[in-house]
Amino acid sequence: MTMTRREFIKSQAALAAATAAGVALPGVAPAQAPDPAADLGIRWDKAPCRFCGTGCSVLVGVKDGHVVASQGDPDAPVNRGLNCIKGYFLPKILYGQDRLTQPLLRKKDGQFHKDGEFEAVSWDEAFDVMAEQWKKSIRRSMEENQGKTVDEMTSRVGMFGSGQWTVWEGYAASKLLKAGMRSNNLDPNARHCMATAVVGFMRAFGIDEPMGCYDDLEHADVFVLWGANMAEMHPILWSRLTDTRLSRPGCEVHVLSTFEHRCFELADNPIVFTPQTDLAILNYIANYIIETKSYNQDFIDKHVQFETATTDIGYGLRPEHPLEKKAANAGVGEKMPSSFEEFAKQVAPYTLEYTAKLSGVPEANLLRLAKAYADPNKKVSSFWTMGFNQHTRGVWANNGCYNIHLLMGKISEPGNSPFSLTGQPSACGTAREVGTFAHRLPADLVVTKPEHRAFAEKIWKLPDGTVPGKVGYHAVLMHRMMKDGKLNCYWQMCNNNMQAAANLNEESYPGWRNPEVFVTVSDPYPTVSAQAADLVLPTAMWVEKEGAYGNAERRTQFWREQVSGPGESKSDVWQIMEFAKRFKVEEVWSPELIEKMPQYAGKTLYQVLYTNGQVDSFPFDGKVVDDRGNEYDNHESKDFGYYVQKGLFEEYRMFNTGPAILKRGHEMAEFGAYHKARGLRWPVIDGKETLWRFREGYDPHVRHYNPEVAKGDVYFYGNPNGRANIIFAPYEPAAESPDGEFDLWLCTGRVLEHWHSGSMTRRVPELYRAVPDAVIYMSKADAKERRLRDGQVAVISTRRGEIKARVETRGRNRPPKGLVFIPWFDANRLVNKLTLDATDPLSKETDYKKCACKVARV
Amino acid sequence: MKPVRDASPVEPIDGDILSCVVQVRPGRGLEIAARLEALPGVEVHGGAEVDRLVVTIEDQVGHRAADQLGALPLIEGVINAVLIYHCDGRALRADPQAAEG
Repeated sequence: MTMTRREFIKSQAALAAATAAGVALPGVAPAQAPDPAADLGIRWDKAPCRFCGTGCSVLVGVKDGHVVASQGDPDAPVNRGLNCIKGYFLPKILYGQDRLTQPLLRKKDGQFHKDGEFEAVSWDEAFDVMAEQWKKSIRRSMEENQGKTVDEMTSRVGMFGSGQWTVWEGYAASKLLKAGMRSNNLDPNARHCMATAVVGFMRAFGIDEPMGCYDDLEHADVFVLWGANMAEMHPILWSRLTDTRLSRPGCEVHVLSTFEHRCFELADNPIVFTPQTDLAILNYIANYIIETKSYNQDFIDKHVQFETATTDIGYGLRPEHPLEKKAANAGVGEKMPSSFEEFAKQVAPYTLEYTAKLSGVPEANLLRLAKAYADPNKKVSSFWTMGFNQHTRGVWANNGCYNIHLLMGKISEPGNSPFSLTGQPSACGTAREVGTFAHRLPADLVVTKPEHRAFAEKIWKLPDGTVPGKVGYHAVLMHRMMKDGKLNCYWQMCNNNMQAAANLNEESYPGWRNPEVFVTVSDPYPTVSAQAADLVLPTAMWVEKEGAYGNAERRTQFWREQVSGPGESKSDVWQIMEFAKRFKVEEVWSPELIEKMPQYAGKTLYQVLYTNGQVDSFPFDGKVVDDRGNEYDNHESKDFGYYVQKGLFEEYRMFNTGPAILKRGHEMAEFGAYHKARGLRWPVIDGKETLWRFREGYDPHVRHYNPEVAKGDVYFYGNPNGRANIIFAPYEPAAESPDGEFDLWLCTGRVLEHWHSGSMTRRVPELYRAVPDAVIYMSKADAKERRLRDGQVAVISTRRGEIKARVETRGRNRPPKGLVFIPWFDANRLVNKLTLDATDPLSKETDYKKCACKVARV
Repeated sequence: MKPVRDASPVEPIDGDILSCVVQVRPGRGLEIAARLEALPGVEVHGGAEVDRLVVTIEDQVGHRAADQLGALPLIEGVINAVLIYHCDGRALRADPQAAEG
């Protein structure tokens, strides 16, 4: 019997692969994708992958309440039946041996104690203790805010969320913090990941997220990777790119990085540059385009305006740091009007000779790259991820790439696409679109604009002046404020910031263990963060809840609850809403605010925010049923008595869809449509998604904003005048460069097998075994100089700390002399003891790619 | 609360089956298909003539399917190996309770 089943499964698995590859198998008719386990009683349903920002859809196979199988979703436009190796292990991330199943509180003598040991407690006890701490801090804030205007208010409570939160988790959190607790101290871990891309988009286009989509991968003649190791970090997109490269005549791939990685195997033009000099290379290409008069004059005349950035803006360090004191314009983001002629003069010093010398890149490689962009007959798609974004001048780098595309008019059409890839499954859908950043509200609205706050308060049925107008603490500032005792309650959900945040020794750990600070961590696993917390809440993850993610190409995807979470674990949205029940409005709002809506007196934040006649307006009859009659649980809706996810999503849609919204361009379809589709790319107008924004014929908003637009022409409607901004910014050095004592560049990043801090992938035995430990990738020459052999343990140190790891000179990553690379997934070797918390002063995103280190024999 | 990160040194073989598409350098499909066929648990079903190999891999004692999948991109001439389908071997057993845990 078993053999028969095995043979059946194997043949069907082969057929699934053949279908995805478009290959006919001998004796087997090409068919629709098969259902490989049809006879095993497995229930199949779609879900977006839990890992990166690509947004692959997988089919999840459930039997007897367990996820037992997975398959690349053949109907998914993103991955077309393909899956990467992490996708293979998706089911196993649910079943690590050390899943958390009960709340855990640090206790001594039966009471909470910061220095106590973790003990299992009930949800009631956990929330009672947590609420007591939060109320104490909120009382202090209310006293401090007396006599202040809404634009001056501050708060001592905060939350650190995630680009892995579902859309409604982020929305519910934003509402609880910004409206309920009246605190803008809400920031996502996307601050470490995508904040730079956001600011780049806003400065150039006045609206967030890419204009193109993954379809560009089949239309481009030239691919340029700027600091993106797609082969390891976005393998499915890399597979699509590879297909195009191998099948499209004349197609070429340019790969830029500070070290060689797997993408270099396909590179027609491999470029290893000195860290930070990407800024100069970008300006050189602009200069080449202008000097050779290759630019698209018509496009520039009609669709572009020129600006220049404020320079010498510091490095986002603490104000007393010498680098901040030295900077003439620390943190200043102002742009000045400019012109084509002025821009041409500004980029003129970035000659081929100068740039080659500065960057260490041979002139021939730079010239080939510039010619590819400047060729009017070649469609160019540029991709970037953390190489640009985790960069103290990352916003400038993002804008430098837009500059090139805009000079050539190579934008917003198939194959011509400057494209910022994302690292998390819902960095776009949740962190950015829902407004979980310290300065944001849903749908690109911001807390600093009174009309935006008023709009939010109207939708949320709250008194005028509820939402504070002062930007809250961003991710890096939160740790500094915890260390300084100014942020006293901190709730981290769905990420691992103790491992992820830079400068662990000097900022993160002292902040978390400050006796004046109470830290709650919600997580499925006992991560480094959980172990450093005061209270740990067990979280139902991925398909243990109904969810929605938004990927890098603006695609919103839904899934249903497939299995139950273990023990007492509950989803983040359940935790957020349940916690809101602990607060009466009198405990968080001033009497003056309550007087404006006296009907809220005596009510809880749960009642005011979630049973407001909107969120609770969709009934739940005990189960979710799909079109095929399959039935699913929904633990939050069962507990709260209404269809929680639908209510939150439909209220969120009031920000981005409808005639009265403040900013068009983010429209979404109604809730039910997403459970039927393999995702839809916003703006969704009349049920139709938008593939390329800002171009007539693809984007319906163009004609709305510019009725006179020519057929197929563009209009950048995110900016009031319909023009995109070309913004000059110069090359400026990194915050910390190698010197006599710390003589090497340190770059950190990821490997294919482990996703980010490894809290899920390191619990899968196969992935753990494949890459058990972080190693120091270094050049043979550097190893030899230090008398280090391959595999030998070395100590790597910076001005902030040291760790030990083995040296690897023959691995998948091959740094040039003078640079070492260490992945940061390894909880046993916390590389962020080494990294500097220098940030881009505009985006507040940390530069994890550049600091000075030394490596020595142990 | 003790994190468990280390895989057990002796893991039971679950009998997993997976399929994948292996993209190889142009013109090298037949040669690389033959090399893959020599690996434990690996079977090439087709695609050699178009340099996109349709491959299934089964767990074998000492050679887990997942490890084989991870090793494929390291073979010279292989550009990419993408997973298509995975079935946990425990789901294949006659006793449905065997799928528990």
